[in-house]
Amino acid sequence: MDPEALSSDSHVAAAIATRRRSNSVSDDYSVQRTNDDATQCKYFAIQKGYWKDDFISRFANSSANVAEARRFPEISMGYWARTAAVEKYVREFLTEFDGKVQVVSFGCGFDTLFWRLVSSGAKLSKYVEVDFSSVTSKKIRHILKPVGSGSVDLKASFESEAAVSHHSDLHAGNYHLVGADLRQANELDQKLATCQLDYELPTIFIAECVLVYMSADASSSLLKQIVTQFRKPAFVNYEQFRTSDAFTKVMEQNLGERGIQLHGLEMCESAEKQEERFRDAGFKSVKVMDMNQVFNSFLDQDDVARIRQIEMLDEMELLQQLLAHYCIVFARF
Amino acid sequence: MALAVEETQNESFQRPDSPTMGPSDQLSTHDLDRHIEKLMRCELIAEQDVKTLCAKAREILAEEGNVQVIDSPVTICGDIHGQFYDLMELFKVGGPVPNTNYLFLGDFVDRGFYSVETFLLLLALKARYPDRMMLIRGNHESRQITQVYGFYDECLRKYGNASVWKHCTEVFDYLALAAVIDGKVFCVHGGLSPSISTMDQIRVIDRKQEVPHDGPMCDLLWSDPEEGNVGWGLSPRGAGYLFGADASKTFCETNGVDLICRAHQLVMEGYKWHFNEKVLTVWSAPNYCYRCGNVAAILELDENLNREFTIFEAAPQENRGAPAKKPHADYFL
Repeated sequence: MDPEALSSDSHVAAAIATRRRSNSVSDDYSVQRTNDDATQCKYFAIQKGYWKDDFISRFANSSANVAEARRFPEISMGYWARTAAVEKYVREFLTEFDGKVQVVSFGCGFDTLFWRLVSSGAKLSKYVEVDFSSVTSKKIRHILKPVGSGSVDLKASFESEAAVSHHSDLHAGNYHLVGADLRQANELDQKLATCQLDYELPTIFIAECVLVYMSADASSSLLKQIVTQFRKPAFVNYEQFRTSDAFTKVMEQNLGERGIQLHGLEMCESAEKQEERFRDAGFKSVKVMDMNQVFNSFLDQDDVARIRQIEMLDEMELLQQLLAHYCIVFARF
Repeated sequence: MALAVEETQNESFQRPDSPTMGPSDQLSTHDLDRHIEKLMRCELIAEQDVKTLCAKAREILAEEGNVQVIDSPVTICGDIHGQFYDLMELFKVGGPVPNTNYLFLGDFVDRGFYSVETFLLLLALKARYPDRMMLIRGNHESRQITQVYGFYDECLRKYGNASVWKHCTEVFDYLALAAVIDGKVFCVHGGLSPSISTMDQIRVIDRKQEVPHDGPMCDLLWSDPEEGNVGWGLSPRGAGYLFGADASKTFCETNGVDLICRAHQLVMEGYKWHFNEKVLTVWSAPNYCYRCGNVAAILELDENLNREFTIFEAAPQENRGAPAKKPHADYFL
């Protein structure tokens, strides 16, 4: 680099900014921050009454003022549809095998499904959450922080005392939270080994807006590894959809400005693409629905009617357009 | 909700440095030009100036009928939604005020990041050129809606209290409900109402109030045309009606108009014809919500009511100024 350029602060700043943008570590940092955004969106929607979650307040930043925290109704409705759809698939799978099921959540962020399941009396054999260590270490801090009055104790859902290792991993009875980079097969293997998963048990994997951040090759390897190891795997994948139009171009640009690169977007182009990737990995049945289908038929329509009443949606087109650009894939053995 | 209303009781305040000035609610042309210049740069004007401007605007709007009578030529614009820099693009393609006469069909505020600057600029232009700048009310010019879709939060963020929002919402109540150009083009934000068959029925509405939840005034601001609809259908928006070709034809015949021009619905191509060119949707917020990827349009009517559409796109990034903390469009992450 031209040493002259370094004499000016603005040049240095620009140079650093360029390097940061091209650096995969800072890309990862941006992806990790998507968890904060998703958590705040869910927290706002939950406060508005879109769904009930007694646990998210332990993870959310509750000091954000309303003017900053408010999200548009179509965002709250979309988060509700996603949360409800994933939960429905998982509960149905638990029921099908009478609770003798393992759940593995990839890129779990601050998701609260484990606590929602346990508190509702659902039976399950094991619940494993995986995310970047930087995220799991924060999640551990939130889980273990002192419980104030009127606040729920997340540890109360554990079968036994929580054991923390490396600041990034927590093991407590049938609940496990481990830090690993999903693109690093060896690291992931080692971390999952500490959770003592049973490869013979039906196991449902969850990935919500996770695979899309990985290259197509990396996500394919991950899916193949699952099918190779587990005898009865199922997979719930929620992510972008119909990616060859103006909406997606704008999204790539907007997220790009926040340092978020969607390396696996090519796999999200169509239902065919999704089906192909899961079948190639060895899953026997694959069902793909866009989120409009999920909203208008897969989910309980009484719930949908209630959701529509919470805030007056000023423009239907906005909701439909958003929902058309996300899908849920359910693949199984 | 509790509104921090701080009314400063200084109606008769005289500026000591300006002996030619009357009371502060007497806006001089010079003051208006100063405000316009500032607002054109997307800069805020002082809270006291907002109060004076709103008082002046109310005075002008109060004299206008519920159905504004307008002469051609005029350029019709649809929803703006606080997309200030895109409004600058609109003026670039449509021509500056007062060279071009404009009719804006409402929805000046909400959803975009600059509702305050956008609305105050339009209002200042209205106060400066009352006969060349026509503004009618949209469904977002409402106390209730602006508390969900951003204008209220934006006022709090930018002024630290709700008084600017309060002044603006008082102006909303004075905005006309519809307009008619040369007696031939009926213009309204949303559409028709089953309770209205003649324009005279609109003229007798007591409009100086918050937009009601139902009834003719609500319908004018909320209804949508729906292909294949016979009679009046329920709107999925929860307010207003869906109207079809038959209702449109009847209204045109009864009132001797050729065309119903409205806004209210996002159309990806900027404008859209309905019912064999009886009803037209004009949409003027390009890349709506900084997310939708649509183009925008304005409709120029010459003195013979010949129609010419001008399509425009969102302002390029370099024309968008550099806000300290860049707001972003929401996605599911």
